[in-house]
This record gives sequence, C-alpha cells and structure tokens, in this order.
Amino acid sequence: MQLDRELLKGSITLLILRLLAERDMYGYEIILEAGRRSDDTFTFKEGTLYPALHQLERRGFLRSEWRHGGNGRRRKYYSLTARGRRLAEQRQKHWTLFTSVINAVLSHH
Amino acid sequence: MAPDDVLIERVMAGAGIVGRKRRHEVRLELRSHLEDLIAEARQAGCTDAKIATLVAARFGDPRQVALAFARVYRTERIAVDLAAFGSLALVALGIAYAFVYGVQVLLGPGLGVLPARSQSTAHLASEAVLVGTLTLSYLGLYFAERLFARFRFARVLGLMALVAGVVVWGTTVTGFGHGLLVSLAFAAAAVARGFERLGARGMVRFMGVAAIVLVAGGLGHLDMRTAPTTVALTAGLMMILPVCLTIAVSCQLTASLAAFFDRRFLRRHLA
Repeated sequence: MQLDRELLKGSITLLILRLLAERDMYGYEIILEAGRRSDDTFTFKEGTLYPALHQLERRGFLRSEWRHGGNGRRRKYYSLTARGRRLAEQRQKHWTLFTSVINAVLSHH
Repeated sequence: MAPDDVLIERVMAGAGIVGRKRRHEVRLELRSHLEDLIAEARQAGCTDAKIATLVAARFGDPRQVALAFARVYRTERIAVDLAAFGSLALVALGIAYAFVYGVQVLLGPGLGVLPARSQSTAHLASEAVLVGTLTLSYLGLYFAERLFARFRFARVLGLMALVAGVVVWGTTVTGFGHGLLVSLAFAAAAVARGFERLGARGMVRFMGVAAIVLVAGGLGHLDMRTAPTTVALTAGLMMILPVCLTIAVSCQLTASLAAFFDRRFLRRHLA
C-alpha cells in the first residue's frame, strides 16, 4: 500500500534523525534501512533525501564527513550533533503524542 | 555523457548552490548514491535499459531535487547575488559617470556648452540622478529576474517600478526634487531591458534609450510653461542631443558590462 505523500513529507526529518541516532550512515544506507524496516512500504524519491540532509546539517542538527568504504568508494557519512539528539527526542515525543491522539479519535465509537 | 551524469547535471543546473567546492561535494555525493543504486541493480541481474529506468524512477524528478536544494541554499545565494550586484553597480556607476562627464568636459566647449553651465552644481546633480538611476535600474532589471521563476520580466518590472516610485516619493518629500528625471531614467532602463528581452540589442536598444533620455533632457531644459517656438525647440535639442547620446552610450556600456560580468563570473561560479 502506497502511503500518502503529504504524510511522507512530514516524516522524513523524523526518520533521518531516528536512524542517525542509532549509528552514522550515508545517504543510500538511510534509504535502504528505511525500506528494510518498513518492508518497503516507506519509500520516497531518493534524490529528495539529500536536500533534507543538507538542510539539517546547515541548521546544526547533523554533521558530516567523507569516509572510505570497504570497497574503496568514498561516501559522505552523517551523524547527529548534540542539538540533533535533542531534536530527535523531541520529535519522537511529538510523533508519539500525535499518533496516540489520532488513534484515540479514529478508534472512538 | 552517461545517463546518471545527465541526471546529476540537471540537478546541479537548477540547484543554485554557491561555491565551487560545495558544488563539487554535492556532485560527488549524488554520484556515490547513483553508483550504489546501479551496483545493487546489476547484482540483481538488471539490464542497462532496466537500470536506467530504475534510476530515473527511484531518484525522482531532477527538477524537484534541484528546487529542494535551491530552497536549502537560497539565503546564501541571495547574499552572494547582492554582493555581486553591489560591486558591479559601483563599477558600472563609476564607468558611466566618468564617460558622461569626460565627454562633456572634452566636447562641451567645442559644442558651445560653457563649462560654467556643464559643470554647474544644478547640472551635475540632475546628470548624476539621470545616469545613476538609469544604470542602477538597468542592473536591477537585469539581475532581479533571477528572484522569480515565472513571468520574470513582468514581475521584475513591477518590483523595480515600485522601488522607483518609492524613490520618486522620497525625493519629493525631502525636497530633493528630480522626481521626473528618476521616472524617465527608469523608463529608459525599462525600454533598454525590454528591447533586450524581445531579442533586440545594439542599435535598437541604443535608439530607444536615446529617445527617452532626449525627452528627459528636453523637459529638463526647455521652459514648458509657455509653448516653445520651433527655433527654441531646435536650439534646445541641439544643446542636449550630444549629452543624451552620451548617456545612451553609457547605458550600452552598462549593458555590456552586466552581460560580461554575468557570463564570466556569476554563471561560472554560481550556476
């Protein structure tokens, strides 16, 4: 089932922050991990990930560095800054509250 | 050029990322992503044709990606554009004033224009307003189009007309005057830029600007309270024609300088 695009748009930041809270990742890895965990339900146009990453980095929530991968290929890895970790926690709390409120309304008989 | 290179270049063309080093890094990052995507597809046994379709489908519309990047780097780009415009404006004003003043000093006496008149405070002030407004209006019309995605010339014309209106109001309220000169100089710049947008350059643009500056000069120098005689009109026009032509030439110099600066600097370093 394809998710609504507007829902996806609002979730990308939370998704990026949540995944990077676990470990440093490069862009393609973020795409693969999101797809794996959601059984390929959560998919979006991969090119749009990079402007989102750059925006978060410019706002001080992420930092990046180039690293050589196992196959010798250079990749740009992103990690959370302290501000990023705080934002990740905050957004997660908001999301949990939001979904519980919506679920409560939807399940009301 | 390989299809993935074409995709990356289409993104970079519209992304508006400032700085060669940063643009290089973004290219590398996008290329790295596409290489991983293609490697995964080859491992799954996809043909080249299938890979090309897969890349286009998964990566997304390069114009949308470019727009997203442009939104991220918008503030920086505007700051650099303003700094570039500011320095170009200073250089253009310097060249325009030097040219117009130089021609009057050198040729004025030969045309019967006494230095006392051509170098009087009143004359210099109105000339400074005319040349300055013409130069800055043209540069504003040329570069401010980049602020808009659609109906660019119409929108920038509206924006610059608003700015000119505010300036005219300011000169009136402060008692500085020359509101009419500001309006006519802006009109001359709009005509010059309008001709360019329609594809006319060189002599057509020159004649259009010269015509409006002639009107400006005529209104400024002739006493319009009473209907001027033919002799007075002819004499007046002969007096101001060389100056108007000089100012029209200075507009041509400004236009050439703007195009050169845009081609050699802005598009090379900021595109």
